Amino acid sequence: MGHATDQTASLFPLQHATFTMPDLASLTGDVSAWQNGEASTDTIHLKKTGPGTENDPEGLLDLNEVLQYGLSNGFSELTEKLQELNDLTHGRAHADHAVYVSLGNTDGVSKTFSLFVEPGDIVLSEEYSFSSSLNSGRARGATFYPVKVDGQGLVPEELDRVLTEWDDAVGKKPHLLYTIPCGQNPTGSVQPQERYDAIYAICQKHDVIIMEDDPYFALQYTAYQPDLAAREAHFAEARARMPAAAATAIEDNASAVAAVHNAYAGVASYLSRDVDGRVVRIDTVSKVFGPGMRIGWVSAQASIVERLMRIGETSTQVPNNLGQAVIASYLSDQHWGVGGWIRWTWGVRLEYQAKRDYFLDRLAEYVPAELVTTTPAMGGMFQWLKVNVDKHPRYDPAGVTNTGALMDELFEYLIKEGNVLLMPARLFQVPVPGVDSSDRANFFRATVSRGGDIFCALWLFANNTVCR
Amino acid sequence: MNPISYQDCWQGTLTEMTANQKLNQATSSTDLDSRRASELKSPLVRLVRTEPTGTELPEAFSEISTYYIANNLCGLSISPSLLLSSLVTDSVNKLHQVTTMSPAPALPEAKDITHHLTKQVRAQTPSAMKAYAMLLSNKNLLSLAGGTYMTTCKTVC
Repeated sequence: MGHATDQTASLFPLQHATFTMPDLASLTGDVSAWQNGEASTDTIHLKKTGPGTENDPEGLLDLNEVLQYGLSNGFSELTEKLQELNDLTHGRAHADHAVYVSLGNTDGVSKTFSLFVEPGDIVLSEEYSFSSSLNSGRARGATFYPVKVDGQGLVPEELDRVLTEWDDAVGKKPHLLYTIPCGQNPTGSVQPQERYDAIYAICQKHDVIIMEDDPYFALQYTAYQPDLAAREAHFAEARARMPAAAATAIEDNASAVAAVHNAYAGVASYLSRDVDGRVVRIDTVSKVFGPGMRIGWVSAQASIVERLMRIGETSTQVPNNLGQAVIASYLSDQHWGVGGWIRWTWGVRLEYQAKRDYFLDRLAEYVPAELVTTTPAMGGMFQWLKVNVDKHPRYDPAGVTNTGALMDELFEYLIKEGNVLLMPARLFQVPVPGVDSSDRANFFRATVSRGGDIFCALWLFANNTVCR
Repeated sequence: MNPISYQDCWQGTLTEMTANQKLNQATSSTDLDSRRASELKSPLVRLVRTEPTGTELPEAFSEISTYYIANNLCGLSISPSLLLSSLVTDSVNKLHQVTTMSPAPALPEAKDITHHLTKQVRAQTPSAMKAYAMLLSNKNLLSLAGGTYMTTCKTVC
């Protein structure tokens, strides 16, 4: 941009930053070259225009601007590219789409609850959901009310039943559904398309806003294939689907790249079918780039984004400009472009699917199926493990069972005796107010991203679940 | 080409822009003035709605966005005090209408869901001084606003 520096900017003690990244040509769908330090690279330059940098290469944004206050909804260089990414991966169902740049998923969730939650409101969610988000809503005075899930996510008939039979004595009828439909945290489920359709229609019928928290959208998997040869062939075929990158992002066919991405394991989102503008969708770069960037985006109809800007003006002020500048540079046609971004996430997706598969391989190897059962995660980073606690010698089926107590015991034993931390279902449970839900607490959430560490964990898990 | 009136601006008949373009005015420009002015979109359009004068905009503006037009209101016959007054006192109830002006022909307009917003969020007003200063953004303005308003100052410093 090359505008003249001013006195304040001249006091910013940073004049040229560079960031090394894998170049567009290296984005083949296989991230191993980058992981091994062997990928060809490109460099992002962020310089402060002025004395001392006259001959430096210019980047997308000037540090004079990046280090200054800025727009509460983000640099247009970033929002335009995020909208382009939205268009390629979700399309548009209404005319008023807009995006708001957040400081990552947690910020997007928090601000969205600020939009819609009055103290005393009841918010619907999956019966197991991400505790941090639940606490964010609770901090604004919300109570969460559970909707039953199965291996494919939230059950539409249950959602309709809850809303249709709503008893005002419980509280005001919910007008907000907080949901993680893809790579659900903690259950790892991905809703099939027909559930998206059914749930969207139910929310139209009951005038419910859908808060689509979707940090794992890019990490959707195909079915678990236990046969190693067949699996390897599947991965090779998946990588080969990605067309070779053009020499520059501007020549790269982002639409063709997105089409491959969308067809592989992809479900469309609530946003993609949002003809009403009742969806507030929350994305992040954390899962495919790095959580420390603290950059994400919220997609909604423009009037809602405008309100998010007002919230931002009095809270976070400006999304981290340096982080914005880096992500905007990646997405710019100077470097990856949106097509290159999708190419990268494609490789990351396959890598995490391989980790999911490895985890399930070891689970089958070390943990007898009669003790622990699971539905393979179809997205995200977590495997939901059902402990068949009714096989435990001390299991007591009378009344409200002692499932909760046995699970607490197992949780503590794993930590003390094996240095293994699994996340207990209790943390994610959304109980019906006033109802003891400990009967449904017989699950653990395990991350699939830790590789070899799981051997010890699973051995201990198997040998102590029912044997004590 | 017919001259464009303020009324046209309110009703969204001026151009067909995506909402994101409306929110980020600088879609086709790297000019800082226009980017900064994107924050103005709400108060500016609300201003137009609140204080119609019947003044017609120059024909040349008909090819560009409502917000570019709004950004150039300082060149028209509205006094700064009136602008500021409008920005500060504008009805919050109109806020939701701001960015729903120009639906693309093939897609439906989003429904009004602002009844779901909390009272607090509905009442939250833009930074009027920032909006006002940016409204006046021009190369000759010497802004001493400072602080977070430096973003405005930078457009002219």
